Amino acid sequence: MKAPSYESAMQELQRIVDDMQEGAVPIDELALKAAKAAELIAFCRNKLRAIESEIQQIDAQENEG
Amino acid sequence: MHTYSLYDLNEYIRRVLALNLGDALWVTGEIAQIGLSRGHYYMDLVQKSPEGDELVAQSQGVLWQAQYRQLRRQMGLTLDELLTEGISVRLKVKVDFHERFGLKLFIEDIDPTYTFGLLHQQRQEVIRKLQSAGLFEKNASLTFPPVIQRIAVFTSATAAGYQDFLAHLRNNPYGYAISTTLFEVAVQGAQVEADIVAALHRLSMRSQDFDVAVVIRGGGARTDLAAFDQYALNVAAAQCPLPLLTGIGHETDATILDLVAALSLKTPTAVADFIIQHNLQFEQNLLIAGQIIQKQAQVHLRDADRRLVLLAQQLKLGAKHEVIVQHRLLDYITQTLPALARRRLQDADLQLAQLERLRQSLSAETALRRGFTITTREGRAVRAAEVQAGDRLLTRFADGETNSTVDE
Repeated sequence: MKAPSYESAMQELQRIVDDMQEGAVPIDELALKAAKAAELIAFCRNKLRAIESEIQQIDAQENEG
Repeated sequence: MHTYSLYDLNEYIRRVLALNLGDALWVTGEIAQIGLSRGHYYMDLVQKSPEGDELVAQSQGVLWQAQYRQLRRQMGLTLDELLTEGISVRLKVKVDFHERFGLKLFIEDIDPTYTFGLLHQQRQEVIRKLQSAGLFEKNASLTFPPVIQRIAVFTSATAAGYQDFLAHLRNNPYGYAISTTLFEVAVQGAQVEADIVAALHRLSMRSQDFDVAVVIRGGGARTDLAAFDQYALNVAAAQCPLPLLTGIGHETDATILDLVAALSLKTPTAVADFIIQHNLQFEQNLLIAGQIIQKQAQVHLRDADRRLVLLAQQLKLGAKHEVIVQHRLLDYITQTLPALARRRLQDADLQLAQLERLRQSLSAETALRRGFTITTREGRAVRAAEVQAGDRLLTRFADGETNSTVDE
């Protein structure tokens, strides 16, 4: 299975937040959703860190040149 | 009536003339024809009608060798210029009549100021006519093409200066290829005007084959240039579709053709030099243009480079900013999610409590309807074991309440 994009992960996260704010999450699924949200947050953070380090590498290359 | 012999008559005429015209006198006329024989000049002097198409007077003039030498010492080359066919002259002559050779005018002196003054007047008249016809500035208003490479040359193949002109062009130090086409014309003598007018006409038929036209010849007598002052020649020259250059080799006054031409120079080689310099100027302009283009291109490249660097920086900053924004968004979600989950749980708890209360009240109603009662003392439900005599009890039925007092 292909890794989800940052945008689709963010969309899913946003949907969970919206559902929770509206009280639309069934209690049975509450823990599941919370765990899913934590997983999505971690995924997005990792993506951002990878992008940050890529940008820094580009900086370093330019400074060398 | 007395009859004379021819000799007697002529001898008589001679004596009458000698008596009445003994002294030399000044006379004006035009030299129609002149020849040199054994050092003496013989010429036909004429006067034309005001319209110029008919002779009204004609006499023979003679300039003896001894007299010529004396005048030549006084006047120099000017004398030779004056002794030219078609020239109007003022002469000091002694009228001579010979029984056998007839009437002759022996020339003792010649007045150059008359001839040159007359030429000057004629020139002024021609200039005035050209100006009023709008022709005087016409050729001068043409511009030279950027490069002069195809030249129509008006001269005589044998003219002094023609070979110099060709050699000068051929040997130019820059290696410019310049082609010349000879339009053969007389550059001295009576044919000059007619030749040049005809040749200019031929040129105008194929002017697109050439860049400029040049009229050149080596040095010559001053009066010999008179043809270049003529009206018809200058009309043709002014209307020449190509810029005209002259190098007709004169030291003194310019001819009218020099004034009409786009550019007048002293000699054929000066004309050649001008053409070479003109082309050199073009080449230099090309080099300068090339340098300017190169410099401009460098400036543009530097600008584009600078813009790219700026753009890259902006993009990088934008990307970094976006990452920060996303981090903040994640921070926010991380902070709010547990609270949201807790609130959801609290809501569920509240809901449960409400349901419990509802269930309790519903079960009491059911019992009452079946006939059970609820007995309370001071607002609280009591059991039989707790009841004592004298207690006031409230009994609740399905359809109402009663108060009672315990007896025992």
